[in-house]
Amino acid sequence: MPQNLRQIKNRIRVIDNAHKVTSAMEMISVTKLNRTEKLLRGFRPYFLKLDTIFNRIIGDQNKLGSPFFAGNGFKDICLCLISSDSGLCGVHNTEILRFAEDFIKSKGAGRVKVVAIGRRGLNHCKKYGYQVLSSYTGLNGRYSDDLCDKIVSDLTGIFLNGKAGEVFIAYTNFKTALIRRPTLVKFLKLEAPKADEIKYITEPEAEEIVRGLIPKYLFAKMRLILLEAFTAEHSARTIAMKMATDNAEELSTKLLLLRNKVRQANITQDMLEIISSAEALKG
Amino acid sequence: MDKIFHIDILTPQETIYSGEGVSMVVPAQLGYLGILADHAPLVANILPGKITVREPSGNPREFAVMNKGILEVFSNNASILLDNA
Repeated sequence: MPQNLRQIKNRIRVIDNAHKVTSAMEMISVTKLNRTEKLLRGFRPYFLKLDTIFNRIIGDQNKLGSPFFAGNGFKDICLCLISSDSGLCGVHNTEILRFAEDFIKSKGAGRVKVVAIGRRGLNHCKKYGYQVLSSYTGLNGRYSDDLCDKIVSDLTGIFLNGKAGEVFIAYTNFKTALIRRPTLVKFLKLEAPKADEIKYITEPEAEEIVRGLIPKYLFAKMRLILLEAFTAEHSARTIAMKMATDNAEELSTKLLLLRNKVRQANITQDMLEIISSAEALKG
Repeated sequence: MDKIFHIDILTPQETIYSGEGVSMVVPAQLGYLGILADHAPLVANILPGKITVREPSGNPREFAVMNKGILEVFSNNASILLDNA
């Protein structure tokens, strides 16, 4: 703690500035959080339904011979790593990067190729020398269907062209504002559940329906994952900024008290000096 | 009394309808399809058109749909998933 009055005043000014910045950033994050969270909440029941239908009808139409189910026999693995572009969001990136690192180690670093979404993940992969197939940066947690479409066609392209035999996605799952968990899902190849067969009446032919359903399902899955990841990012940032703002406030109050104390001590000191010198003159 | 079944109409953004119904008419790929309770398992593509749901009160509800989608009927649950606008 600085003891000099001017130093304390400077310190207070600096902290008040930081306070202004963090509280502004908090407000921005809250707005972004609300927007993506609304999209996410609207979309979850839709995806749940689609997932159920998809699994039921796939269970029925197993022997379809779609390349998405067949697999291509390649041993390489593609990991789509979703992180954020910017920092200042607490442990959000640290957690997901450590999680991805564990996954890559467990599979053997030489076998894993990365598709990086978010600058933090990209930098991490470059630093450790992983093979990056493609990257998406500058998104700032803003979801759009175009983006989702691009990523899906990128990943399916990687799979269909035989660059990888399996595609995984590592992202942060948003449960509540306080519970966010790094999660790994398998995106491709698709696996038919061994569920009980349901005989559906279909219109048109089942094959045609499934053919239409696969891209729709992949798109929906990606959309959900992106929304989860972006919502988690914004919520992490909101909380980090809120804590920073609270800390700044607390520190500022403490320093204010200290400043008053020091000022008072200075005044007392001056008074004593004046009185004692006056006494000395009298004497 | 008419038998009822559960109907959900969802878009990626929101739930348009979720509740019970006595009957439902949807624009499927090969023409309009009528669904009643205890329908056999069914999956069908949906085309833009008008979805009519008759509620248990006898009140018909109509939804004009501008997008394609998919309909699934399974054990007295009918779900319509519509694509993005």
